[in-house]
Amino acid sequence: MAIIGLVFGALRQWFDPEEVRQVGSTPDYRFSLANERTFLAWLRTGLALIAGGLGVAQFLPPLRTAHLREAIAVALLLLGGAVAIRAVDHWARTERAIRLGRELPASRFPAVLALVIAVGAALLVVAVLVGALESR
Amino acid sequence: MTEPGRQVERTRLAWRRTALAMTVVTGLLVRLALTEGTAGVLLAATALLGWAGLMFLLRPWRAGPPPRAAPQTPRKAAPQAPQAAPQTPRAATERPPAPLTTSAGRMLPLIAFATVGYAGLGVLLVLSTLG
Repeated sequence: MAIIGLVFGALRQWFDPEEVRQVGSTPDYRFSLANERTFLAWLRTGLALIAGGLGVAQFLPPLRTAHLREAIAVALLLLGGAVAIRAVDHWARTERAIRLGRELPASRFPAVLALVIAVGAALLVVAVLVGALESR
Repeated sequence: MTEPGRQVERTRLAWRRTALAMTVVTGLLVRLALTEGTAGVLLAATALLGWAGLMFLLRPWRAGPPPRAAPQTPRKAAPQAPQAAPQTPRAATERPPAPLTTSAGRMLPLIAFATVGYAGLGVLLVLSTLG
């Protein structure tokens, strides 16, 4: 039940950013713009992941394991969507914190994302090497 | 006239970069959808409509700070605080100087959920090639 309340509260904040303005006091506009630029940078990250997924789906030749290409594409697409959602949530929470003069929300997400991408890249290297060795 | 830190200008450029990324994603999505037959064409049309709508709605933030020639007319559905960057000489007005910001308000969740929508359409397309 508490989760539903949490999600509903978050959704309200996302869909009505004007509501964020009811909180606290208007900060120096530069902080708000900086927050907005950060959001846009995260959104571009999500869009890049989505573009990667769409690229894998269209341009990658079918891999040896059945449906592996599709699985990779879907994983990248879902990850891109998750980054976009997280971007809105982080923007809203940061805007609230700025207006209330509180500490900015801490987040492990950048580190987690970096780890996921690094692991994915390492797996790709392994796959490429294995494929090259097998076809020799 | 440049404002200190050029924050408004940098935000505008950030919006343009993001719009470009959305355009690229739309192109890839349309290209993939067109390989999927009739349903794909419908999906591609939806994606293109969504993209065009977004680009239209985002015009004010892509094109630069709203002009301040007519301080009495609110430019969009922005409520309360007037939002204008005084870069041209202000016309005589009784209102106090507007805060220097072009914060995009509702555009932020809109473009984020459009992105999620594109991801969802992509997943649909990929899964449909399996079935």
